[in-house]
Amino acid sequence: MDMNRLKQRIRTSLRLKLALLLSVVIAVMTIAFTSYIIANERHAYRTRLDDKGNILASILTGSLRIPLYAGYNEEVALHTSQIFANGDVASVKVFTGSGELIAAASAPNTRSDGTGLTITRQITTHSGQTPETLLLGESPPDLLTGTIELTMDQSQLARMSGKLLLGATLLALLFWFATSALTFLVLGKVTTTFQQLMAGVKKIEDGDLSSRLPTSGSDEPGRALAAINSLAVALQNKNEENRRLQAKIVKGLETQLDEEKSRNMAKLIQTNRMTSLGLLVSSMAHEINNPNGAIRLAGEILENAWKDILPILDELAAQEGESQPCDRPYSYVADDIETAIDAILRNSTRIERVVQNLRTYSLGDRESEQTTFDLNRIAENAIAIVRAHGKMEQITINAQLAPLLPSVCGNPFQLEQVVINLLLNAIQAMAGTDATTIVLSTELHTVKNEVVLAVQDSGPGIKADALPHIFEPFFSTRIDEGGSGLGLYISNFLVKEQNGKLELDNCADGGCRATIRLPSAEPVTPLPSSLPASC
Amino acid sequence: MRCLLLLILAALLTAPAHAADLLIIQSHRSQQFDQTVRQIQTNCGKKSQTYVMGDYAEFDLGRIVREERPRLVVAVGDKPLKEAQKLRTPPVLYTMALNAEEKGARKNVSGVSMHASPETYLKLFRKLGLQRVGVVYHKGKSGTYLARAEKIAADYGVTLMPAQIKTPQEVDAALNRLVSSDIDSIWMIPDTTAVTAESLDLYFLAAQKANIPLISFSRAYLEKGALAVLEASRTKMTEQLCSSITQLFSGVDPEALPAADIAEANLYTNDFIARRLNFTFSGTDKLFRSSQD
Repeated sequence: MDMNRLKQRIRTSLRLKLALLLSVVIAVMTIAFTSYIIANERHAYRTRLDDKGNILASILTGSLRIPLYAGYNEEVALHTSQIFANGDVASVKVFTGSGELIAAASAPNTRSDGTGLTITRQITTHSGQTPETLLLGESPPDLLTGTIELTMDQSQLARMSGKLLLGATLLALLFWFATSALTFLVLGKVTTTFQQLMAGVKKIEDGDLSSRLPTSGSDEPGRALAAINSLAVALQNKNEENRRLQAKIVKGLETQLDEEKSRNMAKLIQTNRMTSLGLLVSSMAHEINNPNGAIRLAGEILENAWKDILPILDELAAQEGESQPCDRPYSYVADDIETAIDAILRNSTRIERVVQNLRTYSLGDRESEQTTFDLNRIAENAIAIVRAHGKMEQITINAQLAPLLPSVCGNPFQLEQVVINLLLNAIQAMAGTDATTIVLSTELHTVKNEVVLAVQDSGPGIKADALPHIFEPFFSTRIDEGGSGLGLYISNFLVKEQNGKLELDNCADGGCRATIRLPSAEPVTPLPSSLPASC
Repeated sequence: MRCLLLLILAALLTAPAHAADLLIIQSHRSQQFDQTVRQIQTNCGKKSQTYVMGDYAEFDLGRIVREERPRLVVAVGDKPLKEAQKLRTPPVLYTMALNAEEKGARKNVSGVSMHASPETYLKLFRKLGLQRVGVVYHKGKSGTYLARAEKIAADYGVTLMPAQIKTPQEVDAALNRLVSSDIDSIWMIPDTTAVTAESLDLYFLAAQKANIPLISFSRAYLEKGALAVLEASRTKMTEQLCSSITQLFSGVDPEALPAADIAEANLYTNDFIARRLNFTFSGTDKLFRSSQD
């Protein structure tokens, strides 16, 4: 195995890393401990040697005090040799008080390099318990009678240190090797669990949540393996739940898209239908206007002829008496004819106007027109068109128009379209109910200098949760009944285009009230209003 | 008028000073000396003036005597005694002088020694049944004292075995000679040559080796192995000194007043040594007097 592979293996193996680290730590601790033991032993040896030297010096001092004082040099030599005969003593020298060497003993190989442990003691006389001290309290000065110089042999220390170093080193190596091997084995057991954990985590990372790790025991590694298994189970369950939820959401979205598609298709159909209806209305207007023009022309001819014939017939009746045409008196018939002619002309005019309004509504090409107009006229036109729409059934529109309203500025056709839309909404809101009356009112608010048009139905009103969204595009409470959700959105847009404001709220006694507020085009004078300020 | 004033002044200057009765010269300051001097000042009933030699670098006793004009000089210690022996007058009494004997006798010098009287020791020897008593001494310091003891020893049934030395180094050999001459006890006297710091232990070693009792002069030696000690009474020593002072003041000739030992001594014993050596002491006879027989 080359060095690179070994480094790579160490880098990727927790067991080897920990084993190396612990081995280094154990080696350092072993070296430190061994060094401490050796140093401690050396220190203890020196201490013992020092203590022994001091004891021997004390013994020798005590032994030599009297012989030195009495001048017994033979006895001095005897005591010196006795002390020297003791082990660990390298040399002993005894000097007199004047410094004369009187006894000496030393080993042949004693080193004189000054590294030995040398103890020097002075031997002096001391007053002790002499008659002078005891009886007179005098303390005579001490007299130096001699000096001993005792050198302890430290050669044993070097030999002992060598042996101790060798033994301690061998023991330390054995200890280090044993503990490192034991550590490696223990780490093998510990890291096996880590490897199993890593394998489990790797499988989870790869998406394999079905496999399970072998668990053994209830210790920390066993619990960690069990935790990984539990995590895999939880992730697996969560994935399955996510898949189910995803499928459900997709299915819901598909359903929603289908419904939306259906609604859009219905709106397109409705739009197409309205477009076709507009074209049809335009075509019908053309087809109606021609015969209506002929009818009107014939009515006018008939009216003119009747005006010319009526004096003649009146004179003839006066002269000859009333005849009985059509089994009725002449005067009645003449009135009927006149009424009929008037009805022909009036209805012809009405037909013309309705057709004209239908064309205007359907064509809508006059939106950019800005002018001043009378809001009451807009209300009347809208009522006429709605009535012509023919969907009012039993519903009546009660027009409460304030007189002498100031004109407003804007596009009358767009505003008319808005009012028609509001009336149609009111009719649709009252469909299926017992309500029969829609009130369309106008009034003047002098304080704010604005003209107000209100359409109030007596239907069920708008639900509270729908009211904040009522002007949003494609929002409709009758979406299932073909509502496009654009009527009020467009109406609000158009009113705002006129610098006005469209408000929609429920009345306290039921029904809904739509209010258009437009600024007056001219200054107004306060007029008493016959209408309630609000529903 | 001027002549009259000069005469008065001259009369004052030439008139003798009001001298103290006692001139006490103390060797140095120590507890023992201070206590003794206080007892002299208190008990002897004489007006005194005290000087401590240790307080002066140079001490001229002659000049002081001339100035103080005392009727009596009391030398407390060996050094004052040595100085006082140079005086011809007045009389000198000494005390607390261990080596008074070696100073030699002068006519005007007397005093009380530091020794308990030989009689007190001989009484103790007789009481203990000791018959051959070895003693080491220096002739100049204790020769007279020992001669007096030898003179009366036979009266007490005691044979003194003296061993004379000249230097302390000879103590060991002297003791060895005594032990080998079949003594039954060792008497340690307060001889400053025979008893030194180095020789002290030799006495007790010798007594221990020979298994004989050692009789000494201070309680401090009991713990070292002495069987019994006779410690001279300091109070008695002061009383004797005051008595001598009174006699001198009453006109007794100093030459007729010999030096005396302390007449009373107290006995102290080491019971452990006593049991070991089979000696018995009764609890009542602790005081030994010279006059008592």
